[in-house]
Amino acid sequence: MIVAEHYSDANPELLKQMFRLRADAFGTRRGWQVSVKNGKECDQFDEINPLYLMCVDDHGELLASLRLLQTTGPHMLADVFHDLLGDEPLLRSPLIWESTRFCVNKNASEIRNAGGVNAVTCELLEGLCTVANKSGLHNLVSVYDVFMERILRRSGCIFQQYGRTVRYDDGLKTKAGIFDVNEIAMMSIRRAAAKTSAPRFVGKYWSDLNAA
Amino acid sequence: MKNLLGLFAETQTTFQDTGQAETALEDLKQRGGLSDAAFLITNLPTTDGDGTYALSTYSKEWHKHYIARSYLDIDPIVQNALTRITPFSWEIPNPSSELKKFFGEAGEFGISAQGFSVPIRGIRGDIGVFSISADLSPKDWLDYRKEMQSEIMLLGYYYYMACLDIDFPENRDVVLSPREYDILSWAAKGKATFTIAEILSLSPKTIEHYLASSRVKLRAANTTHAVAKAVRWGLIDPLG
Repeated sequence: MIVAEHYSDANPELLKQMFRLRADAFGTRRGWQVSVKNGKECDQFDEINPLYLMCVDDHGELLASLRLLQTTGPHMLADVFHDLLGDEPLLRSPLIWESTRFCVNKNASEIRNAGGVNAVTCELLEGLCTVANKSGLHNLVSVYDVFMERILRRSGCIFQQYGRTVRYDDGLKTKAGIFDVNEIAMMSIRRAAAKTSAPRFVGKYWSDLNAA
Repeated sequence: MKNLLGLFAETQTTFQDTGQAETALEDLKQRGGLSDAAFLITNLPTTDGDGTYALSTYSKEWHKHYIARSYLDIDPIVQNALTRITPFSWEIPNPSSELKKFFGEAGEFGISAQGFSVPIRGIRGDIGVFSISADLSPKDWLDYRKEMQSEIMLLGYYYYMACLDIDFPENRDVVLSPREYDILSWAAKGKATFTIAEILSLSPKTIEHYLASSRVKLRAANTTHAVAKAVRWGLIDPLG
């Protein structure tokens, strides 16, 4: 299931798992220059109350997570990865959020779908697209490297590059992309995952969005 | 209820002072068929004042009551906006007795409990929250929100930007990127999206993206309006 919560609403244990997963995924495995304290990775963007999406199993173990920020304020493409913009203008819109810190707990799940993509990755991507769609957004923007790009394509995400390609310290070609979050995009992700039902969502924000 | 975004964008999308900003809220309330409209901004790095101001169509009596009881500290709408980035409706499941009292008192001052707020994170570390409330049936209100969610988010942002102009006049500057300029110029000549796509060898989706970003920069309700503003301000030349 997908937990969509802000820092102030989320289960503290779950958040701890998320920051530890991020430390492992970005600090250890990818060797990025990220700030890790007490085994947890946090940056200045965690301090401005982003929305976290966390894919959790029935035992409460974190399988994957990501972070969402408004593009009207500080976000990674504007403040860290502006090189990627090239000639393109900075994105500032209340209808575009940025998705960052996408990571999957490799130990938790190895189940892959027909396209060879980790089922948990698909679940989180479908969750992301659904939340964005239900929140009234027109697009998402995200920075990804060539490996992630392949996964995103095979997961059925519909996106286009925005700006130019830059090779950062880790040697990987990195780009920014604008993602569709409409019905077509949601169906495309669901089709690629070969599923017929939507993920199960929990959390205060999800209840808010669907209040009857 | 009316098209609030259009009502606002076609009137005035910049303010010189908080008086104008408050008038705009009244205008929105009257012409839009709202119960109330409100806006709060905080943490603005202004040289004078404390970087916070609250504007609304609420009565002066409620405002006095609110200040006297220090409701800024418990107002769930304010607290929500300061700790979350997502738009939200005001219904609180399982409110505390303190909150029940707060909403009860607000009701006595004629404030509808049926509201929707849009938090906005700005680039200067500031946080804005734009809210509307309406006396519709719960079903009509839910339908309205579902249909108009994106428009209200845009409205909130345009209103926020208009307020920012007060302390930061440079916020009024609009610079169209080369692509936005080209695409808006073709739109000014009456070309449809698919035609512009062919002319510029870009996908229609790409054209739509730049038209959307132009609309946001120009604080326009639609492309026709964006073109009109761009021409008026000399940003594009329709005869060129």
